[in-house]
Amino acid sequence: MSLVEIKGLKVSFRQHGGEVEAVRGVDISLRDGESLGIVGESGSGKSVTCLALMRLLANTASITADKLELSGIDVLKANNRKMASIRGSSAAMIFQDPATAFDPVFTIGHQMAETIQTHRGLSKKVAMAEAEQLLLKVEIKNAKDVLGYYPHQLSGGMLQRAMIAMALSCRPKVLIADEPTTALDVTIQAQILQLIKGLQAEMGMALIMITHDLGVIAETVDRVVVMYGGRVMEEGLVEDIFDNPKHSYTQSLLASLRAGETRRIEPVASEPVAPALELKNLAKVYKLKRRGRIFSTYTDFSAVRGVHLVLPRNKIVGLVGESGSGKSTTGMMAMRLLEPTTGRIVVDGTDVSDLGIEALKPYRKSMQVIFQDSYSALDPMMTLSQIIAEPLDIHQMGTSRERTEKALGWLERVGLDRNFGTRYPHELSGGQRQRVAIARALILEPKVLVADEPTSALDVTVKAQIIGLLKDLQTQMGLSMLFISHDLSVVRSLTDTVVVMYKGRVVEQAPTGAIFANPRHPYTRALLDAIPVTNPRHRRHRTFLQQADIDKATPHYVVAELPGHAQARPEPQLVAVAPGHLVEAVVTR
Amino acid sequence: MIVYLIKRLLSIALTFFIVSLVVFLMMHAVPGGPFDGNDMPVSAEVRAKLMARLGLDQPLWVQYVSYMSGVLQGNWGVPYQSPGETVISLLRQAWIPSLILGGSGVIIGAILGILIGMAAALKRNSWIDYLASALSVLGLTIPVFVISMMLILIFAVWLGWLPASGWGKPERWILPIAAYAAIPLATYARYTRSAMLDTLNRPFVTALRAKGLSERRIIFQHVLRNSAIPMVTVFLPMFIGTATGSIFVEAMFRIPGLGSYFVSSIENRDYPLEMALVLMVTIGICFAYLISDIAYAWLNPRIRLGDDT
Repeated sequence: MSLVEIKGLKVSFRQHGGEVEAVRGVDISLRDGESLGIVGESGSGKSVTCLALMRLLANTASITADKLELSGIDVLKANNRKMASIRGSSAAMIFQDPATAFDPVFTIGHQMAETIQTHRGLSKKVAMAEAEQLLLKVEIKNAKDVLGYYPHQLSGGMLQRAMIAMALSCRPKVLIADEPTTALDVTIQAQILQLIKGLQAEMGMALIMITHDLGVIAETVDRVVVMYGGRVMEEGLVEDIFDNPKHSYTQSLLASLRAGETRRIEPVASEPVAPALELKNLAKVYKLKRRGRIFSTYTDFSAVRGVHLVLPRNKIVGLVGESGSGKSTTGMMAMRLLEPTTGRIVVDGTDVSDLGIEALKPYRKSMQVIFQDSYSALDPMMTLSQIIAEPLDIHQMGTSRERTEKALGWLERVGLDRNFGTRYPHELSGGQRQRVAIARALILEPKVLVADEPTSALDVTVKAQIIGLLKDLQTQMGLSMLFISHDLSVVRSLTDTVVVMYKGRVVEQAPTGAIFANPRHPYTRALLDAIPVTNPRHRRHRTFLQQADIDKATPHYVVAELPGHAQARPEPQLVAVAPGHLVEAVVTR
Repeated sequence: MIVYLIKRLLSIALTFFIVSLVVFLMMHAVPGGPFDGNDMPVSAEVRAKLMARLGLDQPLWVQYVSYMSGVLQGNWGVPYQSPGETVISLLRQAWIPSLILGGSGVIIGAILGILIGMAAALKRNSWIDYLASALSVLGLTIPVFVISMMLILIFAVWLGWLPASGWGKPERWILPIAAYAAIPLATYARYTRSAMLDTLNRPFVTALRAKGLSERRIIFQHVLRNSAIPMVTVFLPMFIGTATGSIFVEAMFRIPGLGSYFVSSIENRDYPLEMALVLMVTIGICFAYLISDIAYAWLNPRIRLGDDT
């Protein structure tokens, strides 16, 4: 008997305009101990399918199915009490964003114990002890302390571990993981995936992994269901899907995944001219207020510590690092959208670091930015043609008619239809909005473009299109681009040079080929190692570095080993280990 | 925390002095004096003597300084209306009916309001929800004296179930309590409904359901606790606010509480009583907000543990 049996599942939602069909006839089955991946982009119905299986959809949903069974119980017919008793014990769920999946006003321990008590009728004390054991199992070392923590006191990765521990607490037959790593950094993602895989094998439970990321699928599951538009497009063993995708949608998904593997042709070294953008010793210090018992004390928090960065003309430099590494702060300071504490910003040979608002205005034309969240970056009350033409208004370029005409021209240039000009941002998809943001940034024909994670909120196939568009426009317009991202596969396909940031410092900088072939700094290695595989046959066990390990593994050199002018210093410094390849290392005599 | 408290207390002290000054000046700016009334006419000579004895012939700033220095020593003066008592002893008696009726009104109103708001949020867009919205709009828009009159009309005049006014037997308390309860009930129904809906839409509620918790536990423990945080903070200020509500309610129901003194002290230019009433309400409101803010911080672990992260 199957553990999960879904036949002919249809889900639709009642909305103002009528019914919206989210799932249109899906068949899925899962045996005990099996691991199944459901892959598809947002709106494909993958999450709705699983929520329907748990009967967790809102009242506005109407569900019909020929068969919808979870461990032998008919989900459509079971009463509420029965449903509550199988949730958590037959099937447990973990969610995309652990920060919002915990109740903020109760401690982790309370929330874990209450789950255990609900299903197993243990006393609070026994349940707490068990919760502690579970936290240890998910490799949380200070489990006893964590029990007393509130959710906001833990990092995303730790919270997701606690979520997993809570899900495991009643020994579920199947674990449903809904995009469990999308909100996490790459290195954390790899750790969480390995943890889930290991626990699944150890406890012999089944796994449903819902994701938009084929890399995650390749890492974790045996069998894959590909969904699109509420239907199953293709189903099969993970190797077969990767080797021999039958459906065109699967093929395009795989193509966008593998785009990162093909290398760009390295252009020949260019003549020495003033770089498009140069950052000299840029630093940002925030004052953090700590409320003490009597007096508030202020501590300095260095988000960015003395970053040097050169963006040559016509090149794309990738700035990578995990969240909190200071990469976005650096990007925003480079655009003078955030005031640096110290350091200089040189755009096209002119030092713009001290210019006032008025004096800076002409230079703003040559420095533009694209943000991660295209929705909040576009004024919802303006039409697309107004949005795209606004930079021209600000710099008083051309007549009103010319501006609109130019804006419409740009709409076409970024691959949208001219008659989109009268639409509003909310009428567009995420990818279309990002195209509008690109048009708005490029209409002034800037020299420097800072793209701050422009694709991280997009689906895989859309992501590939946007990257393609940026690449084309960069070549056409001779743009110099600072591309900020945590997505290494994108960085690999797009950039000429990669700068790796870690805790506010640049720890390695090299031509893209060199950094992927020969990473020198331990953090870079950890970052590269964490990239999900693109072929399920290449799965491997990974070891993860703690901060202490990274400090310990920082390269050591003696002066004689290094070319150039390296000098012995006690603190780590950036040294050249090959032409154009800098790494942070400790240099001794 | 201590710094915060000191800052808040200093700002309360400042508020106290500003209010006292403004009210003092306004009070004296109103034409007429305490002995100009027609029901007990006094001769000009007697009036001048009385004024001199009460210090009312002094320049205004001298009067203010001497009054405030008295207040700071705990001497709130003697009411002109009944010279045999002090302001404090007068208010101590008057306080009791207001406290009993206002207090139970707010508590009952808040409890009913929370229940109605919860029902409205859980049965969204049902008749309960619409009824709750209608109730809260009515409660917030109809003036309290109109509500009082309607209550008297329906329950005392038409139905004859309850006495229309007076003080003493508990059945006389029911209608004024109901009148006092109207505003808290309406406010709480609205607050609770929107806070609950807000919480119910948060992802952690789905996560709690996915853990297999009973709906009752989810609503009463998790959702209510999360929604309670903003609700706790409006309670005390509303409680103190009944002091001014008492002006109308007690007049309608003829209750010998604080409310009548608000009116009579102004009518009779009874300066010490008027000042005392205004300043006590001021202090009450200030401390109510202070305590609410502390309660808010304590209930919300994000703020309470702010120095740990």
